[in-house]
Amino acid sequence: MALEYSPPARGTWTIAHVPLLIPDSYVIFAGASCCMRGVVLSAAECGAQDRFSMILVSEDDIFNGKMESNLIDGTSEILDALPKLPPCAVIFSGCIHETAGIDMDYVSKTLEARYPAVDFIISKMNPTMRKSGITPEELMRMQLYAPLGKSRFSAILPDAKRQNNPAAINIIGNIAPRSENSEVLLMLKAAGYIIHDLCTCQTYEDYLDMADAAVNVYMVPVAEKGAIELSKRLEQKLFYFPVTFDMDTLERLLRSFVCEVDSVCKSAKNKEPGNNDHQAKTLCLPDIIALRRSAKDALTRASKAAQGMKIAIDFSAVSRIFELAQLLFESGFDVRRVYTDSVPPGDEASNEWCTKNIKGFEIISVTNVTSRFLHCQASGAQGSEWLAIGQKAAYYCNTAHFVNIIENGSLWGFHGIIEMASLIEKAAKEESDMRKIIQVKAWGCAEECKRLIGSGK
Amino acid sequence: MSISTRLLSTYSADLFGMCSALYELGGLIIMHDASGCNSTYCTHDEPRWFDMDSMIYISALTEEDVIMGQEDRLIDDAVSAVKAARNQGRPPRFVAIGGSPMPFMIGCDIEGAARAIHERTGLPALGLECGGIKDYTIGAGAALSWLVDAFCIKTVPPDERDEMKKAIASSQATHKGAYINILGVTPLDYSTNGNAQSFVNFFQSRGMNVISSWAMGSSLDEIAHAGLADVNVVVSAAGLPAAKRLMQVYGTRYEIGITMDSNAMDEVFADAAEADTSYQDESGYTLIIGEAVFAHSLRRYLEDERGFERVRILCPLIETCGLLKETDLHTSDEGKIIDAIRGARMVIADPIYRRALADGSKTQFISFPHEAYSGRMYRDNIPIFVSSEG
Repeated sequence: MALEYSPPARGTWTIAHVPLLIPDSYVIFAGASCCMRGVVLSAAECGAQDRFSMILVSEDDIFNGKMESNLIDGTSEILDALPKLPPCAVIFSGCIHETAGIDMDYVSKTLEARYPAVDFIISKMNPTMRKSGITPEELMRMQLYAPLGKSRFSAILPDAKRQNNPAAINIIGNIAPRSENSEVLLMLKAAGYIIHDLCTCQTYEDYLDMADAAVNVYMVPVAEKGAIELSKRLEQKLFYFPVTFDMDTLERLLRSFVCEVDSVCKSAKNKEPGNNDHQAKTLCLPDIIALRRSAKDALTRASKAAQGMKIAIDFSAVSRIFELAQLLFESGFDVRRVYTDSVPPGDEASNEWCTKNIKGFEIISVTNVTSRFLHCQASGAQGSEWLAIGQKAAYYCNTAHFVNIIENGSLWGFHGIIEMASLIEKAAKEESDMRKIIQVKAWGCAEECKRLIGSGK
Repeated sequence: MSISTRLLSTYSADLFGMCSALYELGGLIIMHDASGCNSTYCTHDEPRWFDMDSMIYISALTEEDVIMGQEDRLIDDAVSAVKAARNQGRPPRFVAIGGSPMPFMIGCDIEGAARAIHERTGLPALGLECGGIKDYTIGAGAALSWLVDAFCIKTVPPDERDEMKKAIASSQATHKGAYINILGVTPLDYSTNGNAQSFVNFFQSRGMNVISSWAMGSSLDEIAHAGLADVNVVVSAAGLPAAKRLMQVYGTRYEIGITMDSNAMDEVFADAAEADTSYQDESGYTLIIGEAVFAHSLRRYLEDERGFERVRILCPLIETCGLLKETDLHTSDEGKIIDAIRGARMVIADPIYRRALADGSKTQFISFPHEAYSGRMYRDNIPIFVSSEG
């Protein structure tokens, strides 16, 4: 362990932003002033202050045994003052509550009894406990789907009954929708599948429909625990389809995905042979040879555009940084650095490959105390032209040529590689206002909040 | 009394005030916290993060640290960081540690940790026993006050004293006026748009010599000469503890207040109706919400320059510098703040307070952003409201 530094690259989403994805959700945080300041200003900057309130903990509260009652009464005060009760309230307790050992079960049951038509999601902003089991980020991605299949709100909707629809698939755990051009999405839609994604839900009812899907697909490691819990609870098939940059792995995943999804559909048809209401056609695997060729062509073009530029990637950009580094190096890019403090899950083999095969390859800590000085050193460096993939890499390399991407963006499948290549080509040719862009907190969240406001909900 | 904060924001915390006050002085500053405080402070409360070198870190506190205590880890990590900085050719001038809710809750001996760090590194070390729960005036005030004992030259022979003063005067092209320090200058109250320099210009234009500004635009070496001052000027609540300490150590008296810039005020109040002097009833009032020295100075300006009457201050911060009158409010309770806002004819406050207005309200709202409240959201709209001309 050591002291840690935080670079001024703010585009990653925090647990203050993620629950805003649930349409019509109202978010309540409880904690000390220093903790609340970040979340309240995050909500305000996203234009979501109408969906956010807080319950401040004073010094006295820590010792007077009132934290449970303050949570309950504070939440009630907030909900009662709203013009209309929200369908869903997300309540966050803090490190201080957990250390004090407060009974969140009691809090949750009391609130549920007081507000029978509101779905309460209980989550935690407890970074102190981040190494003790489930992290706050993992918990949030799990709790994001907690009301599904047991919504009290849906109990009052007409004709509410849950049944698994084998022609419906959930994409879960992301903070941005997948690209409409992804061959995976195109394949599913062509076969008549309904695709649910929280990132495209317009209403709370749309969100609740996710309980009906037969298959859950997740693609980021932080969503794994949530995906397993949801699938088990609702008896949904689970498939891990990561955003990978290894074309062989991609091909295997596509083939395996097609088999799994087809088998779910077939099994449903066998169970109800006369029922055509919820049936999709057999999936048609896309032309993988053509996709590989397109990907390689895109990479070749990007490589030419980035001629003479050194490549740096950071962990906040994509889940598999070393796979991307390997792919780019094999495609002719001058890959030099990866900024990370750990090897992401699933990326171990490529980490080894890069270290062994890329001469002078550097793995640089993002949070080390000496990282504080990297930006300044880059500012003074002469004649170096970097192309960064990720905001932190852009900051540390002090470059205006960068791909602004957070947590895989909308990438998925072979098209994800084509899209990444296209983004790199653009970054090589154009300069961006790096300083302005990287200081926007939770890139994309404000637009997401506007989208939901625009939907009239 | 409200339990919740439904509509409004929260002021920057004591821990962040400490960091802001000490930012420019070349120290190694540690937030004893898991992770969030670092991100919150450097995103919302520290406009200098991108452009100006600093060594501000988080201790990355874990559950194990909370359960086991483990101040020794904090001390070891701090000492390692000092060594690493020295190896990079950037030796810190001091170390400062501030607490957050978890260390506060478990009774972490932050002062003791600071003493241990001092012994092992030879550097002056501040251990601020804050919990991230009180507001920034407390943390910034304690940090600036600590500088007096840590760095100010205590005893100067009379003949050297005159030489030092001459050196300060000649560096500013002024010679005859009083020597002063400006206390309580942080971006939390004055942003980085030029207000800090306006203070210096103001006093220099009146023939005075500014020894140091605590703490924007001055080095520790300049601050070390603070004891030479004839008088100190407290420009925010964050400066009061240092002023009191300087008075104790050197006998230097202090004055509290700022002079508002007329041109800036003309712009701020450009669209304001003549609300104050035409009340239909005696209960109408203008409400200023904010930090006490700013609010007091603004009230004086409104009364003296614009003929306002019945101006009340609502100060939600702990330190009021004794500037509030009986008719003023000293509260951070959201319910009381909302009532005060809704009862006013005119409100002058950070834009976030506008949310407290009732629908269809006729109360006139004058936006005056305060970085310690709304962070960077309205930073571009903060005027240079400190007068730079005598």
